[in-house]
Amino acid sequence: MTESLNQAFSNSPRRQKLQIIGSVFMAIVIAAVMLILYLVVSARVVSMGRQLQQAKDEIDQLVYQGVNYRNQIAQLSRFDVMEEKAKEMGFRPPYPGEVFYVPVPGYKLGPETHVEIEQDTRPAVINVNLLEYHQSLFEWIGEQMNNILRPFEGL
Amino acid sequence: MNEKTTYNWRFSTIAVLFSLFGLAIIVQMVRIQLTVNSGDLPSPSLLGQWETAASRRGLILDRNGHLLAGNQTVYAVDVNFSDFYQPDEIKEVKMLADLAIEVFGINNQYLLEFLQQEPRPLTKNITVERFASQEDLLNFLALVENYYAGIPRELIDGEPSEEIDISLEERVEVIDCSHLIRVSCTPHLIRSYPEGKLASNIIGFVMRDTKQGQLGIEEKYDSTLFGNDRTLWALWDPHKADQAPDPDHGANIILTIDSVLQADIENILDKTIKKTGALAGTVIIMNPQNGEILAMASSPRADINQYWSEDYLDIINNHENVFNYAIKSYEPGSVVKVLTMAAALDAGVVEPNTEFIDEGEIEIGGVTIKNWNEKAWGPQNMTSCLQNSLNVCLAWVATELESEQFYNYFQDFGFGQMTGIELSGEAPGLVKSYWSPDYTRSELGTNAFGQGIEITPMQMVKAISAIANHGEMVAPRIVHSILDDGYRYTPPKTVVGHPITAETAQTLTDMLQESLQNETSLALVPGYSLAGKTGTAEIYVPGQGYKSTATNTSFVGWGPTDDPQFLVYVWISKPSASIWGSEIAAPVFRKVVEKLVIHLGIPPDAVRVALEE
Repeated sequence: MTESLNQAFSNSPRRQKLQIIGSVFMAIVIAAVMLILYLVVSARVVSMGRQLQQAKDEIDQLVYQGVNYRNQIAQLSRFDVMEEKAKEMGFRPPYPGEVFYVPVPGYKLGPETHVEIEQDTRPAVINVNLLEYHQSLFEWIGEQMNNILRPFEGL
Repeated sequence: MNEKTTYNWRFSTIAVLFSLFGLAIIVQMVRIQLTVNSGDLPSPSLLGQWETAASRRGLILDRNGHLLAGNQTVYAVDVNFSDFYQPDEIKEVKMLADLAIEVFGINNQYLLEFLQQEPRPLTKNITVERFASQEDLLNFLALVENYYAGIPRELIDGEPSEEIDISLEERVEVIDCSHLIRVSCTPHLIRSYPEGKLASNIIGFVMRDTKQGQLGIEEKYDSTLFGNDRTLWALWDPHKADQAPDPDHGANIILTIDSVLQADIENILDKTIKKTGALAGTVIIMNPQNGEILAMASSPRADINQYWSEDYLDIINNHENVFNYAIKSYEPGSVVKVLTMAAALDAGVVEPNTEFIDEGEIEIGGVTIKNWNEKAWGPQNMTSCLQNSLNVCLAWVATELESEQFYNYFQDFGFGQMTGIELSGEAPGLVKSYWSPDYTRSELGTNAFGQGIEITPMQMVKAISAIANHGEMVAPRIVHSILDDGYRYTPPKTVVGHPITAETAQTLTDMLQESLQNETSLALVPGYSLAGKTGTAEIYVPGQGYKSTATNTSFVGWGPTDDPQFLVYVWISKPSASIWGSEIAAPVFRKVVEKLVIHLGIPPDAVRVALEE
């Protein structure tokens, strides 16, 4: 009776073998998928690493080019060069008696020249929130002790 | 053989093959671990190269953004002198050495001897030029490429032509030498000063080899301006790409000076030095209301692009502070009378109408003090004492103050202390303490008219600002802002004291304005209310004493007197055309004011009042 029940409810030997083979194949497929994913990610990392290296090279090139452009502009706008051009065009410096001042309604007289600063700059805030400014002596000693003992941790 | 047995055999064969393959891999791994010397294999950490990030030193700009100190790309040029055995290779190497000497103008004796050596030794890379300009390198490469292409050099009058046409693009693009086997060029940045001598006394310079700032702003703000080159060993492994160095640029500095005004003032000063046969000089223009230096000329100046030139050796070595006369101490003479009078008026020991009978000499501490013309001027008031610049009168005023009060005022005016202007190499000056053992009472008399003490023009500007600015003394400053990583730091206006009251300042300004007009000074500018004082000081020569033939001539003035916008200080040292400040320094003041009122847009008083109404 028992034997007939076992036979009735157990897998056939063929099905058992198929299950084992299926499991092995499943493991292989999973491993293969993981390997492929690893290779894909690794390849992407390498590719991005190369891009990063190229971008850094380009940054360097752009810095050099920017410096060269600014230098060329500075050379072309030197005072002696500009003065020479102005003279060639027939200009000369004015004298105080030659200047006419015309009142313009609403214009406020401001003799001082103004400094033009890039619009995207923000006023600097000096960082005084340093540990040294609010740390007590005992906290400092504790920190120093921890620093000294850190190499011996885990021994 | 049944079907099952056949499959078993196939499975077994495949299993054995895979096992053998796996075993082979394991055996090879073990063999490498045990038999191959690990030192023979390239270490992953060696697969890379030294890389330097292109970090630029911070810019120095004037108040209108005009570039005064920038950077320039130059190249380190290396030539490989190894592996040449064949005649054509020997010829090639000789050509490279000859062209390097010719184009880069090599004058280093050791390098020159090496490059001219015959027979040439086999050597690896030799740096033939560390700071090759874009133009020189392009010229060198063009000549090298022409050689390889078999193009003969163009001759002009029998001499090889060095000039090549370089387009703007070529001047800007980074040069790549990788197509040449024996030549390599590595770009790097050095300091460049597009305006040459303009404001060089303010800027200072940067040593090309050490990249350290020397003198002026460059030294004072070296750590702020410094662009950290960050040379690191960068691996070729793309996984380590993030380890390559990032550029770390220095902060930019905006100065308070106006380059156009600076250029005009330097021009006036240089012409004066030449015309009067003077040794040197300086002109400072400051806004007395906020301490901003608008111009600071000093002559002679060095072209800081060529700081190593022998022409500038004395200036660059800065012996006795000659790099910038604005911060060099000297005996200023009668301009100090303004401060002596300020102290006396403020202490209440004299008033503008206080009478003084000038007998032509006064004895203080056993020393007889005389007037500049050694004559007696008779009855005077304090205004005429200043107008006629009477030494006897001012020495008497100092005795009325007495030593303690007199020197306390001088200390309050900041004498003997550095002004704190953001320039390297500022002299503190020298004012003796009245309690020091070597102090004699006669010095009270001589100090009262600016002899026997050493003061810098910058200290005088700071002290006089108290008079021009209604009793409020401001610290002179030349740095307007620092820009770093998108942030701006602007040092605030600094009031450094109130040595005299506003009433004293106003009284003295009125006295000086009146005296300037009465003497029909050469400093006057028609239409503008100005106050000022000349100064002539004899120069002490060791072993010979004070010589009246060699003088320091000075002038200090400000205006408009009711709303001062500028304070000008002039010092011309050892002029030969005249020894008097009224004839040498006063006209310089007038020329400077004529320029700056136009430049700053300050109309004549009548127009200004009408406009304000």
